[in-house]
Amino acid sequence: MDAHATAAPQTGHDSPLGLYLKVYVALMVLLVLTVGVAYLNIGAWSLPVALTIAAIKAVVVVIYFMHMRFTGKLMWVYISASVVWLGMLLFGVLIDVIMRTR
Amino acid sequence: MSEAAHDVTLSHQFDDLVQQRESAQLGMWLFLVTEVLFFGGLFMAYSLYRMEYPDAYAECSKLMNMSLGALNTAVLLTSSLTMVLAVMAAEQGRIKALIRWLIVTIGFGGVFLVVKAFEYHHKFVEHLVPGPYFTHEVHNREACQLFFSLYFAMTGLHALHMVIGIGLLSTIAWMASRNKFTPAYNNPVEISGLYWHFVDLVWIFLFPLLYLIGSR
Amino acid sequence: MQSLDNTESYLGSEFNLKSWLLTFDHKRIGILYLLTVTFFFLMGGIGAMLIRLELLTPQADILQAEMYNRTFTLHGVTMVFFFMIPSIPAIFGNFFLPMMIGARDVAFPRLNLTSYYLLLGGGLFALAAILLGGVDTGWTFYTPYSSTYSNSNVILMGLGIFIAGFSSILTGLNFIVTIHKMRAPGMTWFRLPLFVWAHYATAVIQVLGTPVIAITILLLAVERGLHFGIFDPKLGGDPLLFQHLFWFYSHPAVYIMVLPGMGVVSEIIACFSRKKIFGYSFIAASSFAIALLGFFVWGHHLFLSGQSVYAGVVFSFITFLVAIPSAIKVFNWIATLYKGKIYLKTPMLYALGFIGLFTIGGLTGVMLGTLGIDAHVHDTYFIVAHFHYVMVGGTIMAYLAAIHFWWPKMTNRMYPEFFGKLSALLVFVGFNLTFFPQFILGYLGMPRRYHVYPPEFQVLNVFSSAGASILAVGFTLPLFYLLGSLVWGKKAGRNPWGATGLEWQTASPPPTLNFDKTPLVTEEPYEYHGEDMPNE
Repeated sequence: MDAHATAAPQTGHDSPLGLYLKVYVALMVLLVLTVGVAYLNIGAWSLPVALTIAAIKAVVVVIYFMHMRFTGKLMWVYISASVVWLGMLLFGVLIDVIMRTR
Repeated sequence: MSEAAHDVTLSHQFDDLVQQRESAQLGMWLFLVTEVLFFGGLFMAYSLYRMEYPDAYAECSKLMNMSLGALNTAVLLTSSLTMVLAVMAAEQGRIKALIRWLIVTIGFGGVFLVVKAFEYHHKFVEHLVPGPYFTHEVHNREACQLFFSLYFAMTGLHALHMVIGIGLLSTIAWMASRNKFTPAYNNPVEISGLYWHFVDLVWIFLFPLLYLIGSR
Repeated sequence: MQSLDNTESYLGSEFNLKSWLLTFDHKRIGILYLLTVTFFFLMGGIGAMLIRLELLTPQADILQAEMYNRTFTLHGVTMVFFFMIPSIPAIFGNFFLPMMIGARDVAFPRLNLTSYYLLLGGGLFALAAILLGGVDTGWTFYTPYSSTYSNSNVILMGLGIFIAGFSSILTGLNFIVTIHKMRAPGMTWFRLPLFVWAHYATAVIQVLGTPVIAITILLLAVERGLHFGIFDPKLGGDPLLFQHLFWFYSHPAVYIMVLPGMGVVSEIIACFSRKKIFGYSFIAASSFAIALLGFFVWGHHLFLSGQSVYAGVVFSFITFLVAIPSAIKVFNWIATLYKGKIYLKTPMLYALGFIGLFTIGGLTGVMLGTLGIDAHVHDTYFIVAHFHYVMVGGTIMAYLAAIHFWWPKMTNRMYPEFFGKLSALLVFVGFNLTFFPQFILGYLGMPRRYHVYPPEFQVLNVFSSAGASILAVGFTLPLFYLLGSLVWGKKAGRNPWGATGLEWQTASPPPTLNFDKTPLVTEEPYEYHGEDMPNE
């Protein structure tokens, strides 16, 4: 089995505490950014920008708080699959709605 | 094999603690995959109607209280930090710290729910609940009701998951107080943490999608 | 609670009700599912009999329109959600998957028991809905009829399906972790029986697809109960949103129903041809191809609902593609049969029946994926015939094959071969007589879900109903002779079929922890070399 999954996952040289606090600060900065973007007048771009910032926050939480770095490739496959599947649902339905002739 | 058979933390179907831990992790991640698709259906409905009624969505999103939404986001992000500190404490065998951090995390969850309750109350009072009592002045009454239906559905489902999460963490805290966890065995703490972070992740997307449509 | 004593069989170790109802043993849980699923099969079967009785004449006889709607809804809901979807995975997957990989149990036995009670609980809600008058929306619950206008027990039935859905999700989750983490030493991925591959692919669909219908039903219930409208056209809601969400799960669901059956067929074809399965890796890969592609064809249920034609073209094309991996399986099975030493025992009869009937059903599915044909036959009996060919001619045949193949292992009794063959014959004849006329009826234009029809369709309907009564006998006979075999059946012994696979290496019935000691796997799967079957 995996060598690292013995007593506790190790983060390497840094104490995990320092890393967690840095990640937390980054998340807060991203939150401020999210709100700030809402005050900018960028029209249709506000949605993709807001979603991108949210996605960055999500990836950060998944990698650092959910210990994805220590989790096997299998989990990556399943998480990606869930996102892709949701994307397929959205794609399939929206393609229908967009392409309907009135 | 005989050594493991006497270890009360090892269930009989597993050969060793490593297999047990990895199985628990894989199991929880798979469950989170199902949750992505579960909430995903709501995101689907939201996307469809946002595409069809962008103006109504923008107008009605402005009726949301952005400050409370941002506050709640900050609360949940902080609770994720305290959760990961709880997991760290469990891995290091610091049980009192574990219990403390769990209680703080639960506290943040409670704050979130209280703020949410205020928001819901505000919506009732402002006649923004979809259905026959929706009498708030808006341009497109029908589309705005669609927006609020999804608002209540998505945040309601999320709040339900928060309540379950609080129950889960309370159970974990209780188990910790009975000394069930050691550095070698703390799977329940870790996988409850995964669940809690997931609930945070859902909110990370809900906040901009519901509160921040259209510029201010 | 059941003891972990491995000296006795799983049946004998403790025999009180509590040890069965609170068991964590995957084998006992499989038996619990067998009992529950059989009950729902009978219930759905009663619905079928009422339908076929009514359709003997063009006029309304025993069922008026309103009751007829409730009857076919009962038949559909019960059969799909409480029989077909659990059947093979919950019974045989639970019982044999851990044994086939050399494990003592599944990864999460308590979760497994929870899954069982979720199915039972959901079933009780559905039963309550039926006893309180049923639902008249059809098993597809299309909005806005189901969300606003129907006066039947939609919420109660929906809750039953919702709860049962979680049974399916958790079973799938359990199987995936079990297959990844609990394989015995030497059981590499390409030594796994194809039954295991099939169940892995099924589990992936269960995990990715079922949550979507869960949220859809929840939304439907909220709309009905609280009058929030998101499917309500009066609010600008899109009824097609419901259909998209519903079929995003319900199409892959049909692969949940058929993939395990294909896994069963692979096991049986190899054993009863005394030959290594041909194209093992192709069959394994095709299970995943079906699971994958099956998620991207759901729009073929919406061809005539107002969906964009361009989306329809895309869905049609992918529907053609999804037939390919199924065809690959059929070719490989036939290649396995070629020059094999064929034993036409009951399981083999059912497996062969599967191959022929599923092929017919699948080909008509490709026809239906063609926009032009579907425009003509949508909502007619052609559709009804198509899905019964794949579901009954396919899955239920495989289910019966599985029961007969593994009965000796589960009970240490042989079923009477004569009655087994007789039932198989009755099922085959009855099935074709029931459903082949329906292809013709549909092509001629008889619509589905109507209790009356134009008189020129009566002859074919009478054939169909006659077939249904033969089919009913074919389905009921096994109940009697299988139960009878528990008392009068010959003792089976460890491996009456001379089959490969770890489950046949242990005692019949198996001990509580499955094996005396953890097996070490050194052989490739399906090491048949044309040897005779034992006792032949």
